Amino acid sequence: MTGWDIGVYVASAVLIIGPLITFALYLAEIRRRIKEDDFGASQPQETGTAK
Amino acid sequence: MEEVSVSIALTWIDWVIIVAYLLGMIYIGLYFQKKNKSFEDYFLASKGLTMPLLIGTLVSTFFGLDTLFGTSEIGFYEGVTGFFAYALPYTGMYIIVACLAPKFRELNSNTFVDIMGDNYGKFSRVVSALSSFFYSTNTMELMGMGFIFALVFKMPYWLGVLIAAAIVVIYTYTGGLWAVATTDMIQFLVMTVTLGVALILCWVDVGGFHQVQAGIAAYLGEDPWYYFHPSGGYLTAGVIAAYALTSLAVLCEPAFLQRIFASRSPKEARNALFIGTPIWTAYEFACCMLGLTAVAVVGLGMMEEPHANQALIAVVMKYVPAGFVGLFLAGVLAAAMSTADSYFLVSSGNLVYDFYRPVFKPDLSDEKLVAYTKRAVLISAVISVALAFYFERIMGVWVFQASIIINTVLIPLYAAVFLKKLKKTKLSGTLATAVGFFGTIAYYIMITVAGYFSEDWETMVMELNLFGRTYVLWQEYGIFLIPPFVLLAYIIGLIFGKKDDTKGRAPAREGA
Repeated sequence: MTGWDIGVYVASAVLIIGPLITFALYLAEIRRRIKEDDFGASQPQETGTAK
Repeated sequence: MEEVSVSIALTWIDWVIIVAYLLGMIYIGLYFQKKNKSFEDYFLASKGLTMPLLIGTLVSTFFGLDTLFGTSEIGFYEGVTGFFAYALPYTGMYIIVACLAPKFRELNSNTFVDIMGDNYGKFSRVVSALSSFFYSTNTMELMGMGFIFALVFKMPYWLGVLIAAAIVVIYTYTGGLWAVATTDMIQFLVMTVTLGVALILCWVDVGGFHQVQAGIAAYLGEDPWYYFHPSGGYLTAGVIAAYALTSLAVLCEPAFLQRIFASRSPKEARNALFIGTPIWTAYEFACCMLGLTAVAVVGLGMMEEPHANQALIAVVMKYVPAGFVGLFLAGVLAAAMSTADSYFLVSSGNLVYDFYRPVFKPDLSDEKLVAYTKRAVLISAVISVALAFYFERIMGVWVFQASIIINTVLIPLYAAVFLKKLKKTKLSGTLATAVGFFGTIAYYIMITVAGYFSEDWETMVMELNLFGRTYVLWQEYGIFLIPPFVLLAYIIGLIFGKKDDTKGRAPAREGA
C-alpha cells in the first residue's frame, strides 16, 4: 500500500463519516425544532468574544 | 483516441431516487413558506443557524459543478496538481476565514454591505452591492444542471436549464434561507457521501495505486511521474501563485458571510468553518483522484476515452452498482443546486436590501422588504438563465467574478472590521471601492479586446510592450495588479477625507 492509497482511503473516510455525523446532529436538532415549531423567532444571540 | 460522450442507463431504482430527491427539495421550500415572518427570518434564518446546519450549507454552497467537473478535468489532464496547485490554497483560506468569522458575527450586521455602508457611506454600499451581485450570478451552475438534466432525462439542454432553475427558484423563493440551509444539508450529505463511496469503489476496483500508475503509463506511452508530482512537472511557483490568487475570494465570499451573519453565535460560525475544512479538502482530493483514475481506466482499455470534463461521471458510472447510480447523480445535482440556491438568495438581497432600499426606499416596511426580496430571486434567476444561454464557453467568468469582489471589497471591508482604531472616512471607502470596481471592469475589457486566449495556459492573456520589453498579462493578474491602487486610493481617502463624515447606515436596519 502506498501513500496515495492511504490518501484515497482517508479522503473517502472523511467524506463518508464526517457528513454522516454532521447529519445525525442535524436530525436531532431539526426534530426538536419541528416539535417546538422553532423556526420563526430569532434565537438568543451570543455577543462578545468567541470562546 | 476519439473522445465519446457519456451515456447513462438508469434502472427504476435510480429513477425513483432522482425524482424523490427533486420533489423533496420542492417540499422543503413549501414547508418553510409559512415559517418566515420577517426579513431576518427569510434572509438570515432568524440568525439561528447552528453548527451542523452551518457545516452543511457552507460546504455544499461553495462546492458546485465547477469543483466536481473542473478539478476532475485537471486531474485527468495533469494529475495530482489539480489538488495541490489549484485546490490546496483554498484550504488555507478556509482556515483563515474560520479564525476571522467570530469578528464578523460579533458586528451583528445583516450583510457585509451593511458594514461597508456603516463605515463609508452610500456610494461604497451601492458599489459593494453591485460587486457582490456580479459575483453571485449563477451561470456556471445552471449550465451544469442543464447538462446533467439533458444527460439523465434525454431532454434538450435549454429545457434542462429551465427545469433545473425552476426547481431551485421554487424552494428558494418560498422558503428563504431556512429552506436553502435545510436543502443544503441534505444536498451536503448526498454529494459528499456518494463521492466518498464512489472514490473508494473505483480506486479499489481498478486495483489501487500500482494499477492506476500502470494504466496512466499505458495511456501516455511514457513514465507518468509528473501525474503524481504536486506541480505537474511544469508549474512554477509564480504560476501556482497566480492561480492561487482567486482563493482570496474566500475572504469576502458573500454566501460565506451571509451564513456567518446567520449563525446563532460567533463560536458556532468558527467551529463550522473549522470542521468544514477537512471535508472541503477531501472533496477536492476525491474529484482530482477520480479524474486521474479515469485516465488509468482508459489506458488499461477498460473504457473508451470520455470528454475530460465528463471523466468523473464516466468512471463512476462504470464502477458503481445500480441504485447507487441514481444516488450519485442526485449528488451531482445536489452540488449544483446547493450552490445555485444560495447565490440566488444572496444576489436577491444585494438587489433589494443592499441597493434598492437604501437608495430608493429607505422607509420600506419589513413586509415589503421580504416581498421584494422574493421577487428579486426571480430576477436573479432570469439573469442567470439568460447568461447560461448566451455563453457557450464561460472559461474566465469565475476569474472575473473573483477579481471584482476581491478588488472592490477586500481592503475596505477588512479595514472596517479589523482596524477599529483607524479613523475611517467616507472618501477612503468611496475611492477604494471605485478604483477596485471600475479598475477591474476596465482591466477585463482591455484583456478581452486587446488580448487572446492562450491554449498553453488556458486563460486570456495580453502582450504589453513597455520600454522595449514584452510583458504577458494574464486575466488573473488583475487580482494583484489592482489592489495596490485600491490601497493607495484608500490611504489618500484617509488623508484627505473628513473624519466625522455621516455614515450611510441603512435607516430601517435596526428594525430588521
